[in-house]
Amino acid sequence: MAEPILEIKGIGKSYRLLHGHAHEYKRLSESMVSLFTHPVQTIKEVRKTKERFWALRDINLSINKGEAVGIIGANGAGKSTLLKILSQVTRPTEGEVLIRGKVGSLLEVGTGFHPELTGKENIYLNGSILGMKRAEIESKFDDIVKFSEVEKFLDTPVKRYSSGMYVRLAFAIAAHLEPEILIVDEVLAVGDAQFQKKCLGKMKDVSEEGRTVLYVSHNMKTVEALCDRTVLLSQGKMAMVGPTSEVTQHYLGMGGGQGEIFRISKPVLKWVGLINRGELNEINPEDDLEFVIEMETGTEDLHHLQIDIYLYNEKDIMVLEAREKYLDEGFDLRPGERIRFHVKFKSPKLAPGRYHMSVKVGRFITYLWVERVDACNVIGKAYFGNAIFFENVQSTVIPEYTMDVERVK
Amino acid sequence: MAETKVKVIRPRSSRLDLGLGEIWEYRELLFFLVWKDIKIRYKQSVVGAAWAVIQPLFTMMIFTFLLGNLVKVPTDGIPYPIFSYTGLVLWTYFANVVNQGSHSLIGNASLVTKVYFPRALIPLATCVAGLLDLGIASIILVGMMFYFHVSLTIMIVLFIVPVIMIFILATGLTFWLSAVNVRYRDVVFLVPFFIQLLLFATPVLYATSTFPESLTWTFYINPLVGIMTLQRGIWLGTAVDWTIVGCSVLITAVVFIVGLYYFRVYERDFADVI
Repeated sequence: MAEPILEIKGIGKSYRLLHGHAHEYKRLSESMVSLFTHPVQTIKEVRKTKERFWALRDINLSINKGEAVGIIGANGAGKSTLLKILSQVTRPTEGEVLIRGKVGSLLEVGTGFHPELTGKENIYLNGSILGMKRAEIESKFDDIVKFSEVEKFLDTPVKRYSSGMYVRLAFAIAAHLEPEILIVDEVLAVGDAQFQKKCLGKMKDVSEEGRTVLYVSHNMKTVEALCDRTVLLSQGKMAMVGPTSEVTQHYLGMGGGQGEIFRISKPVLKWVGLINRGELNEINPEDDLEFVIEMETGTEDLHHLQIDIYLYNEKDIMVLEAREKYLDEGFDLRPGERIRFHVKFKSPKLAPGRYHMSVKVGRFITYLWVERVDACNVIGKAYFGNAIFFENVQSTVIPEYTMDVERVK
Repeated sequence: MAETKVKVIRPRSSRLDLGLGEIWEYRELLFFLVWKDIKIRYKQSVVGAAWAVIQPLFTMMIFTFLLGNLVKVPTDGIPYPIFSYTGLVLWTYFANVVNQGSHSLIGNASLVTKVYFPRALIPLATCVAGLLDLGIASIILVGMMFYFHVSLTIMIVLFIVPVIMIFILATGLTFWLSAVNVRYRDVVFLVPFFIQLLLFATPVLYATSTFPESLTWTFYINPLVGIMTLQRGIWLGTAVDWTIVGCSVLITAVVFIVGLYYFRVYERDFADVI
């Protein structure tokens, strides 16, 4: 068998713990003054900052050519740090990485875009920053433009682009990189759902062409759609490696979903999903929004529980909530039980975009609080009752409306 | 299957080179960064290319009035405007580039934390982009030569030498200052002050002959002095002290190597600190 294209051997990264400094950098004047005014303290301070915090430790992983590997984990688990090391932006504190191929990394969409430059100029600049040769950019220029769907605005400075156009152009450039190893960090978190789907398709093509993809995301659906194997990071360590579906199930079981768990004592959230929808959890604005939330109990009897469900949009604004009345009896959970909630919002008419939800279970004590679970993508143009379509909706909901003119005088 | 090159990422590489080979590998990116610098500057200012000329020209006019007419600084018999402009062409380049260059890493923090390429390209791009202005300002210098009837000597074939020297000197300083500035954010406030001091310590607006005898030893350690005397010798045919020029070449090379070396040592931590 061929050697792995990427070998990570005992990688660790630590940062100094800083006391009293918000940033890593200092002011020369401060350092000088403190050295003169409190020489002993300053030297002590220097010694104190030797305290280290390990953002990442003992990471071992071999990736073969043509594999697509997902990396998941809560915020602060070390996902981005790992990608930064692999893309040589920062160096590890210990361990080593062997890379047998050209690496292209996409840690951010549109790195180095300059607002004053036109779309065309930014294609050249960004392409070369991402490691493309000039001839390569020239030969792919038409494809990039086509993919980005901004043909008409090529000679417009990107500062006048809508955020959607900006992201489309930026991703189009990145999508045409042809490295042997592509490292992608959460770039699909931006842009509208349709474009996201297109990007996901493009990344799938990349991995099917036999190139290696490393993909970090909070979106379990996209990880499942793209990756064969997934690594779960937790507090800087590798918590699990294995087939994607097993790892994501385990992660959701931990109450992960998208992010932080504030308290997870007794019940365990198994699964949150939309009913009868495709892999991207897509619905149209006028569709009913139906969720199934499944949870399992631990070892204890829990009585009179209530469940609260909150739905947030991309700006973290709560748009919908569903909860049981506090005066009601609530529900009970007995050991070994599994319980399912069916929640249905009737035609909520949400504006297109991505939504995430929080689930809270408890009464006076919160037993379970899961945040940022991927809920749904509302797609399609906003549809209004009087058959008007709007491309850009600013509001959070788009109910049908009528507007009549009346001459009063 | 052909053996592919294995890249190894380690905490510290065992040997430390200046990374010039890698800079050469990334020359296309350097070109695009320079092109961006120039493009943006010319897009943002109404006067555009004229700015390259206005700055040294106005400085020349002001000092012609102050030093040429009021104080009557001796200039070895050369008309003050052209005497000062010859030096100011290089000086303006040096001052602008060092000033802008020391901000360059901080200003491009998003690049530093998100993509890999030799970071030296960032300050280097500032220094290369400045050469365009220097070129435009030099064309005016040729015009002034005709206006003041200064005849060219054979020395003119060397005209590129002081330009190369000041480019290397400014680049070396910029490497060092931009790297220091990542660590200590207030260094940028000292830079303009330091440049101002250098202007007075360097015979840009006055002739070397007017410098106090007791301080002429500084000519050997201030690399700008050699560059300025060479520049005047080439354009105006004044006497050149080759010992001073030699010292200048040596110090310029040292500044460049030490600056780049310092940059390389701290380069690996930029993304964590910036």
